[in-house]
Order: sequence, then structure tokens, then C-alpha cells
Amino acid sequence: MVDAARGKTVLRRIVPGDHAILRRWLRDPAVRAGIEDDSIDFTRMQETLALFETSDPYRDGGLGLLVERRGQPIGLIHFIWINWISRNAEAVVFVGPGEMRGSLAAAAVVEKVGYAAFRMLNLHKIYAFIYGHNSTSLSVFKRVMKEEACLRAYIKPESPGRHEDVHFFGMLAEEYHAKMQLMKGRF
Amino acid sequence: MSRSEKMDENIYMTDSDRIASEAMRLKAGAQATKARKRRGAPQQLAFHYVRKNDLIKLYETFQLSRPEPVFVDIYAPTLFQTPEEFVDYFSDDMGLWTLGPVSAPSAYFALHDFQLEHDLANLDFTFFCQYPAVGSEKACLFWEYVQACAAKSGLTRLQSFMLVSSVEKIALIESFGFRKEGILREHYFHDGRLHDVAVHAWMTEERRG
Repeated sequence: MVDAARGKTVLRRIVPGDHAILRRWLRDPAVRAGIEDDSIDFTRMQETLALFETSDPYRDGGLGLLVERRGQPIGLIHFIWINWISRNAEAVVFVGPGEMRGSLAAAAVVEKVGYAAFRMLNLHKIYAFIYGHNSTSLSVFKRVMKEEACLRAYIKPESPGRHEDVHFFGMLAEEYHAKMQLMKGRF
Repeated sequence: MSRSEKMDENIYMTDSDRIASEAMRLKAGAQATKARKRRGAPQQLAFHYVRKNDLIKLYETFQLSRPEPVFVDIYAPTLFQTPEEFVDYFSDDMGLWTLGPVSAPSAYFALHDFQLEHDLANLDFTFFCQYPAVGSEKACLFWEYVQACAAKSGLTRLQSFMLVSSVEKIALIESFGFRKEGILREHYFHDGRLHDVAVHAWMTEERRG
């Protein structure tokens, strides 16, 4: 609460009281179109929300966290496929309020992904898949992570048209720590 | 050249690289066809589809002779700690073929991690003694066989994840027309250290658009 009062961005586990806002975010077509996460099933919202709430990084290799800024939820981080041998995980991230996407607040959410991965879970690497059409997320991730691969023509179009690329971004622990040195706690 | 420039160069092939690689592939294919014609009727590699009952036997063979980690994948590079895990994975309508009998195969390949909504799957293969030379008849027959299996399943994109140290295997797959799509840095822990994983993909002309 002290952090929230200072305007800092904080992370916390998801509780039943968050369901309403998460439900609202997950109904947003822009969020739906950008999410690359098999575990999120939009047709079974209750199960998906329960998964965020109860996920256990050691038992099922996942962890759902809510990002708050000044006491207001602004984003969701969902780690999946946590691999304790290679010490890496895929991060699924979205910023809830539409007006904050692509802003500094979005960068703060992505920074919190690094915080959770490298300072809390002590992972070695995190990675994320971003769809080619999601230019807002691409611009945020390009600032924070390194593009390691471009999976060409990966997504089959729903109606006849071109297949879509998927971009693979990665960040190593050492890169996160170096970045934090430069930012000196700006978030 | 800075580290990031070097990385970018690794990730994206230039057009001239692509043309050169395509030319190399076509040349290799033409040489193999000529060699086959000289020898008469085209030969075939005797691949066998591995049935459910034989998976345990194949797992035991892997344990004894597989030189590399099994099925390097983006999500969960899999070592299949138990035969049950292995059987579970491949019982799920995935394709696994061996060259030679299951008890003593000289090679195997698998089409797995199907994403049918996108018409794609992963290709993994190993030749236990030695990989066929780039452009050799054996290499071409192998690739023709894989392509036929992929086409049968309606796959238009095949992707492969390999340790960057698997030089022979990468050269072979590039000669089939697979293009490098990137390198996943320090992505896979094996034998006491983290390895980079190369991502390659092949797709049909239509998909490439």
C-alpha cells in the first residue's frame, strides 16, 4: 500500500475481487486479438479466471499476477510453460485500460514482467510471442526485449488472405538487470 | 560489428542469401535426380510408421543411441524422463517413423506438436550414425518422404528447433529449403550449460504467398 500511495507500480496475486475487471478486459476485442495463450479460453471465462488465481509455478508451471498503479489494476501478467531446468518461461502480458496501451504505463507493466521473472522467480530468460498485426505491443516489446525470431506466415487467416507472422521476443536476466541499472527505479 | 548487429544478421537472411540457398537446394535436387536416373528405377527409403505398441521399444533405443536431446521445442524441450511420457506424447495422433526396424533403426523422424488450426507441425529427425550428405540421393529421398507425409496431414508449414551446435543437421535441413527464422538465445539447458536453439521453417509456395 505504501508503494501504491507513492504512485509506484506493484504486483500482486489475483483474488476473487479482481474477476469483474479481468472479465471486462478479456471481453475487449483488442485484448482478445492480441493474446497468444492456449490456457486462456474465452468461452470458459470462469475456469480461466480461476486458473489465474490458483496457478502455481511449481505445480503447474504457471503464475498469474495483477499489476497495479496507484492502487488501480492496469495489467495482467501470466507466466506459462515455466521450465525449471532451462529456467525460462513464456510471458503473456496485457494492459487493461485501452488508453494506457503503448504508453509509459505499458512499459511499466512489461518491466514488472522482468521483476517477477528475475527477482521473484529467479528465472534466466523470459520470452513472448507477439502477433504481426499487434503494432502497439510490438513497439513496446521492441523497446524492452530483444527480437530473437520471426516465425513467418505462422497464423492462418480466418478468411482468405495472407498468413500472419509471429514475432518472438526474449529477455535474459543479465539484460534486465543492466536495464534496471540505467533506469534507476524510474518505475 | 556490434553484438546486436551480429544477432540481427543471424536472424534474418538477406534476399541474396535466400536466392543462394534456394539455388543450392535446386542444384542438390537435380544432382540427386540425375544420380537416380543413372542407376535406373528410383529407390525408396524403407521408413516404417511406428505403431503405439512399438513406442516403448523405440524409447529404449533412444535411451541407448540418441546423441542429441529429444525433440527440442520452443515451449518445453522434452527429454521424456519416462517411457510413459514418451508414449503419452506420441499416442496423440502424432507421426513417428523409423528407417529400419524399431529395435535397431538407423534414423527416425517425427511430425509432432501439430497445430492443425494453422496447418503446421514440428519436424524432428536424427540419423544415428551419420547424416546423409547435402544433395545426396539419400537426403533427397528422405526429404521427399517427409514432404509426402506432411502433405498427407495437410501441413503447409514445418518448423524445426535444433541446437546451433548440430551443424550437419542444420546444413541438411537448409538444403531442403528450410529458412532460418532466428536463434533463441540461451534457451535450452543440456549437459551442464545453456544452449542457443536455431529455428528453421519450410512452407509451401502457396503459403509463402
